[in-house]
This record gives sequence, C-alpha cells and structure tokens, in this order.
Amino acid sequence: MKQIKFYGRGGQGVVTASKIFVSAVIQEGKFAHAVPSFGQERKGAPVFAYARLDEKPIDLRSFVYNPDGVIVFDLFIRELGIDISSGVKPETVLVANTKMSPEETGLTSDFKKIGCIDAFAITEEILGKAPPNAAMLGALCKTTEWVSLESICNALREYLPGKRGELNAKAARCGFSRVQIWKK
Amino acid sequence: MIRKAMDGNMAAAEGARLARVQVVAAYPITPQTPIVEHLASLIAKGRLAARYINVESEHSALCAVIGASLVGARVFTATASAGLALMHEVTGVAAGCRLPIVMPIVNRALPSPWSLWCDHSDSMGERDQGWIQFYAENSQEVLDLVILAYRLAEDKRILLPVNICLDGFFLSHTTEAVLVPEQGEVDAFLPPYCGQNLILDPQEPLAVNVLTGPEIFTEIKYQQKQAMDRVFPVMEEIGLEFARRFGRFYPPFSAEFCEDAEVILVTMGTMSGVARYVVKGLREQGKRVGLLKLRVFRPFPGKEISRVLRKAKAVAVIDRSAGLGSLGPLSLEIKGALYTSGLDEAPMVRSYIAGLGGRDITEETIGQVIEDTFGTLGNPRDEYASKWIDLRKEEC
Repeated sequence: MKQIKFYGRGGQGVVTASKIFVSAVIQEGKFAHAVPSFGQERKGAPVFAYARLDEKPIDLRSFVYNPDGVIVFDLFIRELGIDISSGVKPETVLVANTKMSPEETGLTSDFKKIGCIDAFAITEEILGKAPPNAAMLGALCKTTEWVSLESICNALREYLPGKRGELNAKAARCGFSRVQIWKK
Repeated sequence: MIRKAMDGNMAAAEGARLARVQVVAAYPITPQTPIVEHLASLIAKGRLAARYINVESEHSALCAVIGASLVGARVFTATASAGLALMHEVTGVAAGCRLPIVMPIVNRALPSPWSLWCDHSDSMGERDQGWIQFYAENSQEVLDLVILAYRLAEDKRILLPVNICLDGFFLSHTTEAVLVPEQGEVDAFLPPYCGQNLILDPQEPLAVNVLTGPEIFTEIKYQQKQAMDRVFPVMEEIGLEFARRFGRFYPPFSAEFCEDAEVILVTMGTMSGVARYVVKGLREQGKRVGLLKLRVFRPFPGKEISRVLRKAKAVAVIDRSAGLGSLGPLSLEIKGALYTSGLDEAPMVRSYIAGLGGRDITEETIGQVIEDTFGTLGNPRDEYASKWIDLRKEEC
C-alpha cells in the first residue's frame, strides 16, 4: 500500500487532483481512495487531501500521517508554518510545484526522491488562468511511477469532457516530461 | 456492472437513481448537499424520471416526501445534523404512517459547538423514532444499501422507513471504486413500488395521522414494533436474493476473527475499516482480538450479537457520539444484549467515546482502545463509565 498526502491552498484544485489520481489508479483495476480534509473553505487557505493505493482492497480510511508520497501544490505553504516533512519515512518521495531545482528546495535530506515542476508556468502556457493540478498530476506520475500517464490523461478527460479535458491532458503530459527528478 | 470511482454521496445518489425514485425533496446541508445536487441534475437533464420538489427547510422536505409517499410514489430525501434535528417532528410521522421512505443521513455532529464534521449524534437522536437504521462502511455499501432499503421498506411485512447513515467526509467525500449494477439488474431485483397500505386517493377520501385516543394508540404502536421484529428474517431473505444477483451479502453485522477472541471490538461506520486494519495486524502478532462491525443499529440485533460476544472475556465498544449523561449509546445496547443472554458470567463491556466532531479515528486510537481493554483483563473493574480515549486532556 502507498499512502499520499497532498498539500496546497484553497483554489489550487488539490482535492480534485486527489480524486483524479485515484480515478486513474482505479481504471488500472487497482484499489485506491482519496480522503479530503475539509476546513472552513476559503481561497488561499491551506488545504490537505490524502490518498491510498494498493493491489488489494484498502481497510484504512483515516487521514495519512506517514506518507510514502508528499505532493505540494505550493511550496510557499512552508512559510505558513506547515512542515511538509512531517511524518515522512526514509523512502518517501516528494513532488513539489516550484521554480526551484530539487537541490535548491533544501529538502534533499528529508526525502529519497524529489520531483520539481513549475506547474504554474505550464498551466499558464496551456490552460491560461486555471488550477495547476493537471501539470502536478503529470509530475506525480513520472516521479512516483505509481500510475501510468495514460490513465491520468483518461481520468482527466473523464472529469473534464471536451476540449478542456484534452488541454488538461496536454498539461499533464507536459508536467510529466518537464519534471526535474533528483534521487538520493 | 461497471467499476467506477465515486464518493459516498455519489453512491447514495446513484443508488436512488437505480431505484428509480419518483419524487425527491430535500434541503441542502453540508456534507449531504452533493447527493441532492446530483439527483437534481439528473432530473433536470431528463436522465431520471422524477419530480424534484424545492422546499424551504428540512421539515418541509420530509413533509413533502411523506405526502408523495402517501399517494404511492417511491420517494427519496437526504439530510444531516441540524437538518435532521429540524425534521425530528415528522420522522415519527413517516414511521407511524408506515411509509417506505429511504433517507440517507450524512453523519455530522449536532451543535453546539457548531461543527461541519462527522459524528453520530444526529442519527442517534432518531434511534427510537421507528426507522430502520443502517450504518455503512464504504461507498459500495451505501449504493447497495439504498437499493436493498427500498426492497425491505416496501415489503408488505415491513413498511417502515429506512436511514442509511454514512460518515460525513470520511465516507461522503471519500472517492473510491464502486461496482455499479446495470439498471436492468436492479429493476429485476426491485420492482416498481405499488403502495397498498395507506394510500390517499381523491376518489376515496381518507384522513391519516389523526388524533388517536389511549384506547387504540398502544395497539398501533405495537404494530410498528411487530414490523421491527420482522426486519431480520425478511432482511435475510431479501439479502440472500441480493447476494445471488449482485454477489454481495449484507447481514446485520459482520464478525471477523471473533471465534477465539479474548477481546472483541464493536464498531459502526468508517471506523470499522481502521479497526479491521489494526485487528489484522495484531492477529499476525498472535493477539487474540476480534472485530464486530455493526451494520444495522435499528432494529438492534442484540440476540444474535450476544451469541458472538459471550465467548469473549471483554468487549470494547467505540461510540462516535458523546452519550451525555450516560454511556455511549451503542455500549448501552451491547450491555443490554449481554445482560439478557442468560449467562452466569457475561464479558465485561467497556464504553469508549472517540471521533467526535470530525476527530480522526486513527490506528493509534483503535490500538489504545484494544490495549486499554486487554489491560483490564487480569484486573476486572465494575465500572459504569465511558472512557474518552482520544481526549486531549491538556485542553480540559
């Protein structure tokens, strides 16, 4: 079983991304679930979501405290006092939306593998004013290798029918190809 | 049957769609709103042949479906927390009129303090109103139980309304894989509703829910009790047919690893999954612990449960509601069931309160409950108290 914690801010599509991610895993015939953690929603406030995937049915349904994967939609949340290295294990993988390189994040001692992606830039380029979640899903896919890019693109097209879905799939492919990966 | 990703709310709405409900009336309230939003959208797009009645409150929502049920329609509504509290006056009317209404309750704490998050205080407040109450663990159960509930509620031997309780957010908003049956398969299991008991017809005017004197009130109440008494045999019959058609069987409770267990944990709702995970892990270490997951809270399967629990040394009941002024409500039911089971020596029953107002019931919480209960085995105390296991004492 792999457990994931998503960090982001209200309006960045964190909860939607977690749902699309598990839909993609489920399409592959595996088991997965996404548990959102809702607060008093407001744009910009920190938002968390959790996901699990496994080859067999999953009993656990609580939040994730010791993630195998940490997905950060905005590294800036560290400045709000949120510790994205909280509960991580020696083999935990990080995917972060940032202009920085993995070495520049200052997180190489906390994670085994780091994928950095400028998801805001990709999104602006392909989708205009939109949440960065499709590009993040592409980067997540490449960095973790837990789900195929094809399944992510299919799930995006299912969530967003028509041209919007195609463009989001393009953003995911772009996130997949541009992510900078650092390994311990 | 197709395998689709959906959350508990969507599963409830899909269950209603597949049951071909004819009238939906509801008032939005977090975390239930997506259920009726989805149904409203299906009706607006013509994908569900039903009438959606907009109402100004939950009290009116239930009144509207009571009226629609009285003219013979298959009806649906859903609510949570304060919305359910506002319905309270009419939940008894629905049951007393013997109307087969199906109403999911997306569990959310009742105020005060104000909360959006999960506990069972809302549905517990309705436990003696004459409704059948199911508690679901996952989205598959939600979808299946909605379909099963109509078949059970509409059975001439039952004619009682049904609540499907699903944990707010932990189930209502958790996306997971669900097997969605084909419409034809559901139609074959659940024929159209044909109301014959109490039907309003302008050609034959009739008054219902009229003032009833002491000379007959008891007997009418007793008929509701008799219907409740018939639920388990009828549910087994219907459940076996459901299992034959869909491959999933839903007994009133599931006992896992209970055969030789010294300590048995009793749970309802999503905490059952976390408990199963912990129990499986402890079993691998050789610890004799079992899990009894309750699915039907009303009627309460006390007799059948006591047969499973009587072999244990201690029973740890986790209630997700405070039970203020007494113990956790589920623990009281379990104590009652064991007291009447004719045992010389019944297992000790420990009442634990956890997960109030959305507090996560974690592996650690379940682990603490089990450890605490094992700790009392050599040193049984006659304790009439509940233990608030996940309390942050420094805040009190």
